[in-house]
Amino acid sequence: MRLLLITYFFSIVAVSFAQEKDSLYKKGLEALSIQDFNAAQSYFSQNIEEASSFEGYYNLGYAFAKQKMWTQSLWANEAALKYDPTNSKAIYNAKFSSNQISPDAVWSHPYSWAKRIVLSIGETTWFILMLVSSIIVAISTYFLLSQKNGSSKKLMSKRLVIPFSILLVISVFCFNEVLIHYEQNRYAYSVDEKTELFLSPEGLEVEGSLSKNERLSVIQDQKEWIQIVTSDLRTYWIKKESLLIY
Amino acid sequence: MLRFVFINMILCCASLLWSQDEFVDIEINPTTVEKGQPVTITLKTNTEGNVKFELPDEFVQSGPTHSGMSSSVDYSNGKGEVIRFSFQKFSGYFDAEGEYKIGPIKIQTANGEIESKSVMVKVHKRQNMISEDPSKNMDKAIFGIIEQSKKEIYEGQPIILEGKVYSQIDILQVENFNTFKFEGPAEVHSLQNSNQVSRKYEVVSGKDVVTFKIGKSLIFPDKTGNYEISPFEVILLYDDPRKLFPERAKIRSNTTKLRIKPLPDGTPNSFIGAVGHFDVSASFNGTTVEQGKVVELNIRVFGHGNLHNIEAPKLKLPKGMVLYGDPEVEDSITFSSLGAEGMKTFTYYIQANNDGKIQLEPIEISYFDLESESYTAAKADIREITVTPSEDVAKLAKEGSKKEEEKSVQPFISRKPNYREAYSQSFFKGVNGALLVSSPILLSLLFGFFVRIKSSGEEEKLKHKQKSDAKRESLNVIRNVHKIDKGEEQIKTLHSAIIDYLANEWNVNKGNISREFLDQKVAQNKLDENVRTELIGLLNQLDELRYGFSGAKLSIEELSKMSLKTIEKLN
Repeated sequence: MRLLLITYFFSIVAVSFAQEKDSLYKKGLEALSIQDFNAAQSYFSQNIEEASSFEGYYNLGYAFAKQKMWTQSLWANEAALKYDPTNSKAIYNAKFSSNQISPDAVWSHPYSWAKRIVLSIGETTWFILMLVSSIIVAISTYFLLSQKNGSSKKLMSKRLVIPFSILLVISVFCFNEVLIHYEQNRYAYSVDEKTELFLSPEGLEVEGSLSKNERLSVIQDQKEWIQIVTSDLRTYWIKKESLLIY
Repeated sequence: MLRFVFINMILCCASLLWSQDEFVDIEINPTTVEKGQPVTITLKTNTEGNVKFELPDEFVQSGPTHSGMSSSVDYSNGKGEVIRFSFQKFSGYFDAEGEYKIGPIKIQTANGEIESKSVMVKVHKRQNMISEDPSKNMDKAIFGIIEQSKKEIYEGQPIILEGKVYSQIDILQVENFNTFKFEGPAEVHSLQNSNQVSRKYEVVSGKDVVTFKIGKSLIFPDKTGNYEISPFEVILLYDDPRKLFPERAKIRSNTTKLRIKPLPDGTPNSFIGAVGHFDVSASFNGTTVEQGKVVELNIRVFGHGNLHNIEAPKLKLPKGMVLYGDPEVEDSITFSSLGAEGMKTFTYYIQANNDGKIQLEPIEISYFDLESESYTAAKADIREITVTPSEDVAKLAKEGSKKEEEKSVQPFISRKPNYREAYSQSFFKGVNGALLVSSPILLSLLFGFFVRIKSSGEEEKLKHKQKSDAKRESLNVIRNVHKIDKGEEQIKTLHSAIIDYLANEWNVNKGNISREFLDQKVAQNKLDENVRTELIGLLNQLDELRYGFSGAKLSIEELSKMSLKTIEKLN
């Protein structure tokens, strides 16, 4: 009885949480439909803080673009690509935002082709592949150990065990990559060229400036600080609040 | 020293001059010099009167003053008018560094006072030159050495080359100077007229020598690498006390080398190909511009180095500002021992399409600083410009931007969001994931080994059973051997049964059972010495019976019993 009550309580909490996320998202859509882009920006920002989704980031990027906040729009569209790296609309809007900041700049996708393929396949497919290959490797191993030399089962197992072991290793790696991908912050943008740059967290402030259109690569991600590297290989520590990170 | 020069001039062709406007002019060549470097000053006028002209105290006149008449053609009014004038020309040098204002020249004529423009002359400190040791050449009466400002320079950096002639005899005249040559692609600027030399007395290796410098040149090599500088040649007229007339001597200097290094890596984006020391300033040609109209942005790069070869700075324009074509370039450059010195102005034509206050990003240029041997940036802020609105342009711009936006911004999406579960909340992360993947394999390994162990145990059991059965059968044969009819057959069967038993006991073939084999077993402590003796005795008895030796005393029954007893002792 007690267990039932606890389960019921948690279900209620989960449902209400999901409803809150959805209500912020819906409010954002309503604001977009009446062209209140500032309000839409606020709703989608809260929505992605609650739970990340491609749709949340994409619409946030759209709201920023409509307010001509191009660096923010570029960041939001690239953050949307984190969740759907092959989405042509987000790619187009990121490219467009980049051109608005600097017409001569050539925008490049934040993720390599290989990574995009891995992400597009998705964790469910990788998980199934991983389990299937694991089971086939297991059965092959069993037959290899238990069957007598020269038996047809042992011969078949010998043929299967190497390719399916390779597939197992690849699927484990890719499955893990997909899971970690959504957890890690890999890139950042600076909205202000006068962002304070530091030698170390809470350390000395150093001279330098960051370009608005420059995608900064994240090296280390700490609680309030982040270490980035610029395209010309300068590294700085910056307060997280000064950057747009994804 | 304040110097007043009063010159009275009589005009020869009064009728011609009467028709011309009165003028007075001053020409100085060159206007950027080193301390001690010869400078020529020329005064020109077509009128007469009291001339008032002041020269700075630091100017030292050397050599005589030349005067005469000359004419030139002025095309400034498009007609080509002949101007006749008288001139005075004299040379000298400045004995201190600084900037000197020469002029204006004022002439008090019958029609009033006329005056010339004034000219600024920059005097730098003398460039430190590197040369071969002259004392090594003191066996020659006259010799020449090439002096150079550096032995090794960076790409784009200029070098100064100068010939220096040392003479232990009195030189009367310098003729036919054939300058040194940089053996590579380069841009050469002469800094000194080879007809103008000033002699100096020096002491080399304790001897008095007359020296003079000639052919000072500024060279901008084009490519990196190691290059030779071929010698200069000059013909000198000298006084030989043994002869009636002056003699001529041709001298040829040494050859020298120069290395041109490439600029270091890490060129900044704003690098304009400048090497030396530079600064930048920038301004619009106005503070306001009407929307849609073109405004001029002037970027001035000034300093010294390879100024004449620099590229136009790159502009970062905000949206609504459109650049028209390449910038126009205007320069005011003089070549001196510091390189190309002066200012280069780049005029950009920019159309302002958006109204409001427009603030351009600061103009940044980077150059390679020779002092610090690193890339250095110089920045210039630009004052904001106000673009006043124009209705027509605003309408066009609005339509244009609407179209652009429609074309460019993809619409928002209204589908239900697919929220991502964070990795930290995933069941499959870390140990769980590893266990999930590896569990079938671990289980299969476990079952596989279990099956293998089980099957190998069964095989062992079977073998053991077969062995026991064989042994039992051998014992039965031994027990029942007396029931066989033929005596010879009995002995043969008994012998074979004993050998079979022993072969099964030790898991070997029957052929291996021999007396030596039994000895080995004793040596391995697998057989008791007494049992071995009994076994050998038994086998001997059987052999005696079998082959009819006389020593056989026991019956087959007794031998059978004895065999059973001995075999029992084996267990």
